[in-house]
Amino acid sequence: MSYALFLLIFIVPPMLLFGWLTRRLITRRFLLAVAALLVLCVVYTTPWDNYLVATGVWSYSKSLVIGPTFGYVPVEEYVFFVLQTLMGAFFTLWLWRRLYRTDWDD
Amino acid sequence: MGSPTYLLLILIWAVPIIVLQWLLGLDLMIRRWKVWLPGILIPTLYLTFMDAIPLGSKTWTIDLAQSTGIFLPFGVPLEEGIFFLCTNTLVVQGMILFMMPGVTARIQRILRFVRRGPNPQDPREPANPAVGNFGSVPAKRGKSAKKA
Repeated sequence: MSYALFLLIFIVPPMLLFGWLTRRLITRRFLLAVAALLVLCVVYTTPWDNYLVATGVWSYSKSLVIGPTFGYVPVEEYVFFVLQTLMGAFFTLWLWRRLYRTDWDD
Repeated sequence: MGSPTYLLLILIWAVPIIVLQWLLGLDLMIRRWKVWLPGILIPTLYLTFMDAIPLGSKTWTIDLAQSTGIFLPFGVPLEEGIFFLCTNTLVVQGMILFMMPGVTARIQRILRFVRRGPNPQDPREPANPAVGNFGSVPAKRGKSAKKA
């Protein structure tokens, strides 16, 4: 299974599902929080993940990725960080609304 | 016998930030535990066991010489589970800290403390019960009190 297909089948659908379920709850503050998390996540994870690939702790099949890499890491991996963070943020928002109504800052 | 390399790399990378988040608002996470715990555990379980598929098709591979050799169900290395536990913890705790009322005031208070030292009588400090009493040490009853 190609890396892109894995993302498309297993990561994009739950991300879209919880994004859709929380679409009316998306506030400016939520968007700012997600943007901040995404920046922190990509900045903090990139050097570490490059180290993992460079030292061979984690490796990928070159025939199962689209091709472009940033440093040692295939582009799909960066997309994974972003999608996973979005999925987590939407899921958190969904749980929060269901369990505590809205008590976050707007 | 396996090697702890990958496990240690994950822990050294993630645990300091997780602890920093706890210092900033573990009380807030506990107060929203129904978001905090399932928000972390459900995506962790999902991603960990879905990981069996790309591992099985060799889309990505964990180096056996640099990992513990301990496997979770479906042949997923322990490290992958710990990795997703850490990343989901970072995301959910980050969201709670960003979204919870009172965190902004708490961060401002910490920055003021760092710049000028403790100033509990700061008149500009609005009374905000949601913020808690960060920076001041609550009086403790217990062993030390008994000694005196």
